[in-house]
Amino acid sequence: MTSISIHTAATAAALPRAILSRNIFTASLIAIAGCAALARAVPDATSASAALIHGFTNNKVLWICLAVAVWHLQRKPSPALQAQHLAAGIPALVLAAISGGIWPWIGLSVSLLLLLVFAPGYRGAARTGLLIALIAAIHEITIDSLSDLGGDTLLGIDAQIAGSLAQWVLPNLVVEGTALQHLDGHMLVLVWGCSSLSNLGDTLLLFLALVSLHASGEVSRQSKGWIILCSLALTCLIVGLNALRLALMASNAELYAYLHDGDGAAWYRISILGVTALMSGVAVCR
Amino acid sequence: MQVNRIYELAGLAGLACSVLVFYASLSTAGHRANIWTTPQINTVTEGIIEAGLQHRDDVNIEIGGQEVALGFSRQGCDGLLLIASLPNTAQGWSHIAPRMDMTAFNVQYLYDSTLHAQVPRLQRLTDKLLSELRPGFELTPPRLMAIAEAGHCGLLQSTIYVLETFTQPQRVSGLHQTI
Repeated sequence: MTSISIHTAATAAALPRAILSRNIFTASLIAIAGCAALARAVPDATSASAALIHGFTNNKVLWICLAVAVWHLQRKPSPALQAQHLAAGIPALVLAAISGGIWPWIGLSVSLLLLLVFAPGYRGAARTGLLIALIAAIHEITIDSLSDLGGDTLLGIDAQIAGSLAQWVLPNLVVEGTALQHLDGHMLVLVWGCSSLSNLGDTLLLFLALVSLHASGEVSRQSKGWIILCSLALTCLIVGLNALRLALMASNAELYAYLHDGDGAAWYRISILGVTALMSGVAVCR
Repeated sequence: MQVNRIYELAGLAGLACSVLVFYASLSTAGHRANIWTTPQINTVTEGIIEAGLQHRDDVNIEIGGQEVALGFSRQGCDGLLLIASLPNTAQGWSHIAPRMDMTAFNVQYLYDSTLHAQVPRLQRLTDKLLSELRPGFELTPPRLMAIAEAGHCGLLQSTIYVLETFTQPQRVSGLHQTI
């Protein structure tokens, strides 16, 4: 008993003196890989600051999730860095420094997996942060790969769902492959950016991050039930809202311009974020 | 304790180096222009006209007000060669081509100097990944075109070398990329 208490006291005393703790190092990896992946995706920025601003504004949900992950990791003191943490961080550091596109996300995923498997010891908030960042990175890799490989089958299913829901209010709408065709000749071709799947990935990620802010650590079985129930309700709401948006955009060119490029696009984003915040609030309040 | 301090210094050095390299590389970010802008389509048109074909002004295929396919023919030939530059992102490959009234033709896809019956999605993805992995000095992925020929005048055969050249990957410097 005595030796244990001495060891605990020694560890606690050593923590504040550490230059770089295990969790701060991991949080830095996530921040660097996130910056590299998002900034390099900018197509027409001409300076470093412009690239970062583009990256921030175009990927708000992802930034929020990464910020939540970093916050979880840094909010409690942790032991000093060890060799296995440095080794696990190499893929994220190297790929963030030398490559672009989805490679920084791949590097980050590998590093986080290595930290989880070969350098365990992340508990409570730190583990939550690690998992949120890992899910965000894997989500980006999956969406990017599906987008490049076409994913027509998934987009076709999405168009069918949107078309089925929209036909309640727009009977003249016909689903043709991945397009919603209005009988007056106006047609909406579905692409990844406006698909329910893409919206759903982002919002579920944000839901998870927001819920984790309140419910890190041990979660009771009843709370888990509510979280699952609210995530299912959120899924239905997002698919429904997106189907309504697609149907309105397919109905005529003016509504398309308003919802795609005009103020309607901002209102849609606000409503999506609002619904996500509301459902995460319900999940944690229950 | 001493060993931990060494690891911490090594970690700090790694993070600092990574931030510096990342920030330096940002100056080259953003020079990946969209390869399917008008000047590139004009380049293809010029090459095909030099090969002896004429641009058919009466063939006008647009999506959202933007011309997406060009028609070519030769004097004395009632055939037509349709060339559509497909989006740089893979998103519209399989639904844009059929909606350009090209379904009546045998559509082929020219990618990396080779004609394919279907869009070579996996090859394009691996090419993209490889191009993104090269720091500073990168290889742009080959361009993708949908090509359809009507009639039996050998229009495709007489222009294939122009199109092949245009769909070859380009080695470019990040700072001086013009494509």
